[in-house]
Amino acid sequence: MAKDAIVFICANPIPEMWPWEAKEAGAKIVATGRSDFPNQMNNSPGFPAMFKGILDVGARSITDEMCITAARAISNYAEEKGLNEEYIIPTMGETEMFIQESVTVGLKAIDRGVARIKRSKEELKVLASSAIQKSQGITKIHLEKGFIQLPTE
Amino acid sequence: MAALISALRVVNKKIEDISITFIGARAANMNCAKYIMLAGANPEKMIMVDSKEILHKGRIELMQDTTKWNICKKTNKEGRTGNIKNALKKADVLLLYINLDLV
Repeated sequence: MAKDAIVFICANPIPEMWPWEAKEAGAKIVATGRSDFPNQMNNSPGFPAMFKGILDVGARSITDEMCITAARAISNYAEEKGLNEEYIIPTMGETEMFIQESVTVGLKAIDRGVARIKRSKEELKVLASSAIQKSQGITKIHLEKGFIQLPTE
Repeated sequence: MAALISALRVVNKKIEDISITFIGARAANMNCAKYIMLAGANPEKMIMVDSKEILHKGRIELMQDTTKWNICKKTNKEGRTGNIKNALKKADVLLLYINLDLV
């Protein structure tokens, strides 16, 4: 392969090859579908925030451009935090990423005329962050009251 | 997609310039290819391999399979043929989406 090769090993949970094998063979950046290795590529940083943005503006359709905008928003967030070989994509725990992505997608839908509800950047931000906070709050209470248990490792 | 954009930022390469090899030619890689092209990658520099060999214009048995034949026509301008080893030459990015049950 070329210099500074990038390898995405997407089969899950058993990858086509192990990340260290790819690295030994000369890959610079390796990403897999697994959360126990660095660079987990998963659709979870993608669709929840995308749909939040789409639903908040009542978009009539989801265009390819909106999908790519969402991808760029995820990458921009990672870049702000400092990209490196072991960090090319944020994890599920990075709440702020979901808010930024949702706002960007919502604004794109408005800009391209597929939105039925016009909202400002600030409004979209509040909608996304309050929805996330609400869910996190419910989960926390359920954990404290013993209704649900943390997943076992 | 996001991972690809970020990874290219780390290694300082432009999406228009890179050669991408896809191993696996079913729904997952087909859609990756679609969105990577929409994001600005050059299809002529892409190569996809299915369970038999590299997709190229000579694979006339694939004409019935519109999705694969479309890739045969659009990608692999240099007309590479053969196995995965040939597909990997000069590749900047490798995407693996293989059904391991078939291996």
